[in-house]
This record gives sequence, C-alpha cells and structure tokens, in this order.
Amino acid sequence: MKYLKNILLLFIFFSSSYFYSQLRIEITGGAEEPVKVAMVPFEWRLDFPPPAYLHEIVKKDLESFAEFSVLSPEGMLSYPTLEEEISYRDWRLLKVDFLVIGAVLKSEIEGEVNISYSILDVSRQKNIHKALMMGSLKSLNRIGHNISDRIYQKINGIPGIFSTRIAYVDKPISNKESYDLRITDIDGKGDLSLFSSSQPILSPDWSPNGKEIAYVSFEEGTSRIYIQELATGNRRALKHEKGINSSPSWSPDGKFLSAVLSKGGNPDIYLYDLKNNSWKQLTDHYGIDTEPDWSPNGKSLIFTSNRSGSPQIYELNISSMKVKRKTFEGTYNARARYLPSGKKIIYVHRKKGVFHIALHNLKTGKISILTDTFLDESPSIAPNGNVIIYATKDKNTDTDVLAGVTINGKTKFILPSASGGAREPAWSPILDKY
Amino acid sequence: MQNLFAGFFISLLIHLGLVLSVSNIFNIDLLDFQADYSPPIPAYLVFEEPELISKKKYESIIIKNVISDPRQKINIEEIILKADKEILILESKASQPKKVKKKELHLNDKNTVLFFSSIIEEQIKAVWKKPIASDDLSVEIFLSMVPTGEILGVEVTRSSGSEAFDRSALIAVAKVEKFENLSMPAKLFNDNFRNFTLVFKPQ
Amino acid sequence: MTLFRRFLILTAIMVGISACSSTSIERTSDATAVSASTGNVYSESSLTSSSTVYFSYDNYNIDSIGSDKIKNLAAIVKKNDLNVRVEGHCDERGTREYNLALGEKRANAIAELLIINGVSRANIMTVSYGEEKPSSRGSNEKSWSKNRRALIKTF
Repeated sequence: MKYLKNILLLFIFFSSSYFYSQLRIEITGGAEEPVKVAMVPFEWRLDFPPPAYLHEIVKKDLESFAEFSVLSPEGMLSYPTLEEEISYRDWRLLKVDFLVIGAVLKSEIEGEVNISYSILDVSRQKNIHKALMMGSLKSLNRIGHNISDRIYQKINGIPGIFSTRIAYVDKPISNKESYDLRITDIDGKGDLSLFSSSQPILSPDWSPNGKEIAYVSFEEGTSRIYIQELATGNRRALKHEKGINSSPSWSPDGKFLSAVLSKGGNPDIYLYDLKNNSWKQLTDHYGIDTEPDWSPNGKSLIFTSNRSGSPQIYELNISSMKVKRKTFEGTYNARARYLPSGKKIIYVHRKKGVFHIALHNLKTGKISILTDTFLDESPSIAPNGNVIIYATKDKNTDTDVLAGVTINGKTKFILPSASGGAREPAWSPILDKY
Repeated sequence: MQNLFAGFFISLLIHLGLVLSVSNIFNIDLLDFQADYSPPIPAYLVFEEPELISKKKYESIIIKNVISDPRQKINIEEIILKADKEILILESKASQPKKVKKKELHLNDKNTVLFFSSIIEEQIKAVWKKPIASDDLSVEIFLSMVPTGEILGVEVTRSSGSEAFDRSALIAVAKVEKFENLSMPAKLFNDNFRNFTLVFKPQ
Repeated sequence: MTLFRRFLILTAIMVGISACSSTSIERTSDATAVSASTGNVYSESSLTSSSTVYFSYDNYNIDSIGSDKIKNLAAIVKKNDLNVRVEGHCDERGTREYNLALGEKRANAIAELLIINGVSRANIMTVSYGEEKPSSRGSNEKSWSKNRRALIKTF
C-alpha cells in the first residue's frame, strides 16, 4: 500500500513537470483580412418559388460595414444542404472561415415556414450553431436578418444589429410645415410614418423593450413629451409643466424617464415616475442643464451643462446626487450618449468651429474624433456598441442626411434620404431576443 | 510510518532533480558538450562589455529582417548574422566608446528563444482573424509541438470569457497546423518549445 | 507513448463526448408599427402682429434696435390689452436640445424687457423653438443671422 502511495506521488511529480515550461508568446494583433463566410443557397422545399433569397439578404447584411467578405454562390465548388454532405476541403481551398448551410421547410402552421440551418467552423470542421427558426413567409426579410444576427454573434461574440430599427424625424425640404416621426429597418426597408404634425417633433427615444418611443412634440404650441406604443399607435402625454418639457431618456428598467423641465426658471434635469406620473428634480443650477442619458447599469446620468461657462458633459450619480465634470477639451461638448459597456461615451464636440462626433473613454479621458462631415449632431449608438448613426449636412445638396461610422472609425456610410430632411436618429434596442 | 517518509523523501529528491536540471541552475553550457555543437558565429562588439539588448529591440530587428511571408523557407544563420550586424550598427551610432575591443558574440540561448518565438508569433498573426470588439479580451492557449513544428495538442488554459474570442484563437492555431522554420538544437526545443503558451491579447 | 500524450487523448475523448451540439429553437417576430395622428394642432388664428428681434451668436442680449422695438411694442400692448407670445429661435449650429434652452433664454430676455416696460406678466407667454423653425434655409452666416431671432406675437 505504501509503495502505491509513492508511485502516485511520483506520477504527480512526473506529469506536473511536463507543464513546467515557462515560455509564453504574446499575440498582440492579427490579420487584416475580414472573416470570410460562405452561405450556400438554402434548399427550398416548398411547392412555390421563393419570394426572396435568404443568402442574398445575409450577404448584404454581413458586408454592410466591411467586417465580412461573403462568397457568392457562383464561386462555390459544392452546394451541401446537410452536414454529411460537406466536403471541408472544398471550403478550405476557397479560404472560407465559416460555412452556413440549411433548408427552408414546410410548417404545419398556415403562412409560416421552418428554417433548419447550421453554422460550421471550416478550419476545425466543427458545427458551432444548429438551429430551427420559425417565422412567417411574409417576413422572409426579417428571417434573413435574424440569421445574419446569429452568424454575426457566433463569430464576433457581440449581437448583430441587422434586425434593429432606426427611428428618426423627417422634415421634407419641400414642405416647411411638415414634421414626421418615422422608423425604418437597417436596410432601409419598412420605412413608415409613426406620427405626423405641422409642428416640430424632436428627440425620439426608444423604451428598453423596444415597444414604445418617447418624443417631444409642439402640437399644443409648446414643447411636451409624449409616449407612443408602436404596435397600436396609442399615445399618451407626460404630465406637462410650464416652460420646456423635452429631451426624454428612458431608464434601463423602463420605469422612469429623465427629461428637462424649465419650470424652475431655467432648464434642469428631472426624473419622471411612469407609475405615479410625478416629476422629481435632479439638478438645480441657474445655468442650462439638458440632454440627459442613462448609464446602462442605471446608476448614473450624463448630461450637458453650461455651468462652467460653455456646454460641457457632466455625470450625475443618482444615489449620491454628486455631479462630476467629464469633458475638459474644447469649448463645446454636448448631447452625450453612453456606449452599452458604460465605459465610453460619444458626444458632439466642436473643434476649430466645426462640430464632430467624438468618442471619449471615461476612465482615461482620452478622446478620438470619429467623423469628418459637416455640422454633425444627434449621435445614436447601435445596441451592440459597434456602429454610430448621426445627423449631418450634405454640403453639396444642402440637405439633412443621416450618416454612420463604425466605432473604430474605419467604415463610413451615408443613408440617402428621399425627402432631404432626415435628422434626430435613434437606434432601437435589440428587438428579437432568443 | 518510516517507510512512508522515505518514499516521500525520494520522490522529493527526484522532483527537485528534475526541476533543477530543467532550469539549468548551474548554467552549464550544454551546447559545448553536444554532438551537433557548432562554433559561435563570430561578430565584433564595439563596446567593452557584451550588452544584452532589450528584448523589444532585438525582436523588432528580427521581424524586420525575417519574413514577409512567414511560411517561406529562410536561412536562420543568415538572419541572425544580419540581425546582429544591425545591432552593432545601431549601438555604434549610439555612443562613442574610448577603447575598441574585439569580442565574440555567442548565439546565446535567450536570443535564440526570442528569435523562434518571433517566428511563431508571425505565423499565428498572419492567420488570426480577431473578432470585432476584442479590446480588453485575452485567452491563453497551451500548445504541445514536435520538433518538426507540427502541433499535437491544443488546450484553452485561460478563457477570455467570450466563446467567439476563444474560438478565433483556436482557429488560428488550427490554420497554422504546422510551424515552419523552427529547426533548432534539440535541448533548446525541449526546454522551451515542446510545450508553451500562446497569449492572444490584442493591443 | 508519453504520459502527456495519453493525457491529451483522454481529454480529447472527454471533450468530444460532451460537445454534442444541441439544436436551438428560434422564433422571428413579426412586429410592425401603426401610425398615429393628433387631434388638436396649435394654430395662430387670432394673430394681430408679429415683430422680430435679432441676436448675435450664442447670445441672448438685446441690442438697442431690439430694445427700441420692444419699448414701442409694449406701449401698444398695454393700450390695447393684448396678449403676447414670445418665441425664441436659434440658428442650426449646436445640438437641438441645447438650442431649445438657448431659445428660451432669448424669449425670457424679451419678456423681462416687456415687463420692465409695463406689460403685465400674466399677458406674456414664452416658448422656445430652438433651431426647429428656421426662417431661412442655408448653412452660412447670412441664413444663420436671420434665424437667431425672437418673434413677438400679439393676439
């Protein structure tokens, strides 16, 4: 028995010494090429031709921000539908990193389809996601966007935003007395009007569950805050006060709104309790306090204040009520928004008389300018923290347009606006959760 | 009772012996005693004392000289010669010593390990596609390799917490499959490269 | 076969067994949105006059031209017991909500001057439109100077 114990100890020592090696090599960077995805056209097992092709929707989505390259079907060597049919050599030859295969099947439910699909890691020949997706035949577009989201999320570890929407205010150049609150899908489809008025509309803000939008409307002759339920169109007004009622910002738990009231003689930040419809004052300063935004953890608010002489960004800790100044560079910093991590903010920053969108690290104080367009304002961040959309002016046509940039500053894009008056974009939260 | 202690003591001695031999605590230069020992590459130092250059500097010179395509065949001795020459030039420019003394620079173990680590690093870097939003993430992968460069075993020893990030590192290793240009003395390989850890940490 | 190699193979087998992928069930939602409209919209049917006072950039001080206008207007308002609505406006530079606050400063400055000139506070209403209702389109100082204004409307 005692010899057994010795042998056991020896065994441990021997095996442990194999792990003794000290060498650690740090890999600090990688290849520049984007991830290459191949989505084989899904087998269509219904008895009528497909109204849309899922692989085309996915290709367009994934290539939106130059973060992926997607192989076209013409370039494929084989067209597997089931995992058993895959010849990984074919895909390695084409330098594909991830393969998506699947089929669209009949559903017992009328008007619906079932999509069975898999995402495969070509290099290691492994299935990393197998799913059965169910949806209506009418929203094949939406199904395509959902699949793009899953692929994005499996590969990047952060949610995809292809099923999200953008709310924005449209003021057509052609009509001076027309203001329109609209929403659109990320790909520009499904653009529809939520609310129209002959008086100004501004500051749309999505509720955390994506079912309601709060916004400011001048329909009664002064600024008032309204909440509209998307599915029904039902509207309700917050209890309005004398003076300014504006800049609504929903709390992460959906129970409160922070907003601006000037009933005390000057604009200050107030808290609105949605349950008992009452206001509570949060800041009390003779200057202008406006544009509040809730931190993702619900513990603080950032806002704009000119208490130091010009607009700067301040942070209010809700439990301690302490206010701390955050921006010290430049003479105009306003309209800040937290990134989903809560560690960085974006805001409008004026540099040499020009308004840009800046990204600011709250811990280090380091700033980087993300945009180089003209009269940039109203930045809104995607729920995965990777893309920003904002309002700017197209100098050539002198129209208001929405533009975007990825958070690393590398990919820029402009959303064409038919009316020439798109402004105040607000990115929805993730709408389809699993 | 006594038997147990005796057994334990022997095991301890064996383990100590293993540890000490691997760490080369007495700095026995085994290169001199090996069959495949090659004479040191002569180079001329301008300084009086051989200075150990900072790791970063040496690495950057090697990388500059080494490889545009990490997998192409290279002549290692040639590269080391070139690198050492450049270091000499850099150092001669840095200051003006009073006395000029000729000394020989050994291809010492530390520099060689750095050199081959850079080769491994470059080959992984060439194929690693890091996921979006990888800042602040870090994953540690333990590899075991044979002298031909073939990777035998891969294991995540410290996850980043992100399945996608860990996966990207494992894919990079899978893509490499076999490291090129790693011919080195057997002892150096066994001591350092048979098992080692890759730390994927974007900067 | 080395000890380590054996160990590796064992772990590989264990991992292989546990890595059987399961199928996730995913459901696409069909969420659409419905349009809403409002019943009442503000209109200015009983408007009797409208005067404009201009401001310099990022400022709500009233210049001499402005104060003269206001003095004269105050007399008319008092005489006819009119109601006054002061609207503050800004040019497009800067953020919208901040400009809403700035516009209010301009409207309030005008209101204070009217009160100094004898108009009753109860007859005055102030509103800020910020940069939302420019009178002139164009991103240049010519347009901007025309938009930095307060409108004094009497009813």
